[in-house]
Amino acid sequence: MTPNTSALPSIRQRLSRALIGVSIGWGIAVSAVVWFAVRHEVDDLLDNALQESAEILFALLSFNSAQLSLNGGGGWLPAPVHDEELVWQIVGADQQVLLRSHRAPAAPLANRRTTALSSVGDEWRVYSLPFDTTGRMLFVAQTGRSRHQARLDAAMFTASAALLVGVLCAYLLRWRVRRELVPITDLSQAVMQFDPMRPESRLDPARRAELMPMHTAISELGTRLARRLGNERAFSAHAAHALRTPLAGMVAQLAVAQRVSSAEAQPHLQRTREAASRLQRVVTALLTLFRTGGEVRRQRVEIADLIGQLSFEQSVISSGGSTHLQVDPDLLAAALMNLIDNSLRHGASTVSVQSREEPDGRIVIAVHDDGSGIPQADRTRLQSALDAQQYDGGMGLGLMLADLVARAHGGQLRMKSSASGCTVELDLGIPAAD
Amino acid sequence: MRLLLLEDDAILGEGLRDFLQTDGHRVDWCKRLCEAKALTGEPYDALLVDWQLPDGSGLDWVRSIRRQGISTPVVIMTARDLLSDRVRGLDGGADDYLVKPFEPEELTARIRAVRRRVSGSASALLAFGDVRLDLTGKVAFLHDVRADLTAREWAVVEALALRAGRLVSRSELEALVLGLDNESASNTLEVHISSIRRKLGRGVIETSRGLGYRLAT
Repeated sequence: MTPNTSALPSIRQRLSRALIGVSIGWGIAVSAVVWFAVRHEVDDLLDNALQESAEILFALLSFNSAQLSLNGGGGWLPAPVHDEELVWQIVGADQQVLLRSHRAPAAPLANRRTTALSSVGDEWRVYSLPFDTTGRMLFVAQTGRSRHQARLDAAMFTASAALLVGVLCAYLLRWRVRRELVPITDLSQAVMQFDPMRPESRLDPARRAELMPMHTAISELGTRLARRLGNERAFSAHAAHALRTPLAGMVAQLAVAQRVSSAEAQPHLQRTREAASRLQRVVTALLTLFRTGGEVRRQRVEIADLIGQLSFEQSVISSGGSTHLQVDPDLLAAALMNLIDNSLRHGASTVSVQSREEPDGRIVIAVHDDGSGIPQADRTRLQSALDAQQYDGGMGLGLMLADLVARAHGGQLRMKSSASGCTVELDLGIPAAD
Repeated sequence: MRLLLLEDDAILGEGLRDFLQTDGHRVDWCKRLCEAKALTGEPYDALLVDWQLPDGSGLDWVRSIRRQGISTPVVIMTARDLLSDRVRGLDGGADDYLVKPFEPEELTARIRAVRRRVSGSASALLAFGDVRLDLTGKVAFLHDVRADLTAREWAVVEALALRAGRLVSRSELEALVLGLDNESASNTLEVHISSIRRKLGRGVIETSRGLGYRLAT
């Protein structure tokens, strides 16, 4: 029986989930670090650029200071219309803007008298430096908006790149995990094909070092299993010979005794011979079942023919239908022999063996007798024991054998209620053969 | 019928021997292969051979006698019930294969069946002129009236019927039918044949002087 694998955790899914989780976490962490690092570096870069620009501007303005109109009034130098990223002011000692670039505000950008970098809220980043010895200051500033945009662009680009690389890596790793798990699937399939009882059957070599212990364990298990089954088969063959020959001798001696004995002894000898015949059937069934070890050797069998070949008085058995099944004839014969034998031992004079088709197509063989029957409580108890395969105690050998045969074919034995006598259904779990 | 029973198990061998004898057959029981080999030249109606014997394989012996051209019907009796074993047994020269344990009645039915096949008749009912023989019931009829034959007389008629169409020498016939029980030496083959002719008609058994006997068709 194949277990429901969907209920079990999957190594592939667990690894994939872990890899995706780690990759996303890694991507977010890297992005955050990149974000802060880039902000810091871009700020440094912009400050350096601001400082360098201010110093160049200082040099240019100082060089032409004589031509500059520094008399107040907040005038500005002529320039074409453009978007200024840098603005500047020359502010007098009295905090009056003397000269400025055309986008610079009319009010002083800062209140500093020394060389320094400072921020004016989020609006400006200002570099201050004394312009001359009269206390005039040169303020060069960059808007906070343009600095923020620059930082954002740089951080977004690098963070996006980091995330993209993370996602790509996650998919690559997921694909790799799938590939690395393929040898496990291959090993599983090889184990399914592996039959330790066939000398030519070998497990393909393990393809990964990690699978070697499992491969070795399975190979050794197969060897132990083959040895044990071989011993059991040898024992079974010896047991078969040791049991069958004395049984045949007993039957032959009884047959002779029946012929040469007095009329008074005949009923006793007849009963003894019937018991010997029953013993023959039980031994044959046991040997058949345990020799095969549950291994089903299916072939096309006509149920009525099979029943006709059983060693019972034909008047006792009435078979119905002409259904063909793909079954192990020896095992099915053993199961039916034991069920019929049970019926006869429980007072049945007629045993009917009939096959019928269930709505889902399965064929069920019903053995019904007119014997003493089974009380409801006992029948329920027997069915529970059969369902749980608890054959020890309270159950006869016949029912156990029949259930084992049914299960070997994929079905099970069922005790059914009936108005009179007893009905046992052998469900082999298979449809009729074509 | 004269039968060779090769079976090492004392209880089974004795039981089968006694059962077959009560059925009217003459049975030589060997417990060892070497004993059976010593009887290889003897005329038998059928050989009942166990596969596994203390001093060898019964099936190997069957193969060897087949190689020697001996076509006496062989029934293998064995505990080996695998399909492969049955195939080996039948391919090895056996005419039938019986798995132990079996009912002795089934063995006698199979012996009759293999003998019928050898004699070329599928039926257990044979007709020789006005005489009809029921090999299963061991009964002879003359003009549809049952003839009251003794066990020895039936054995002679049966031996000749199973070899219909050919002359059976006196020595072969004696080997096949004499020794069934502790019969006195005075009961010779001629006495039996004379008695059969009285019961089934003078012409039922033809005699070729110096060569043997056969049933008239």
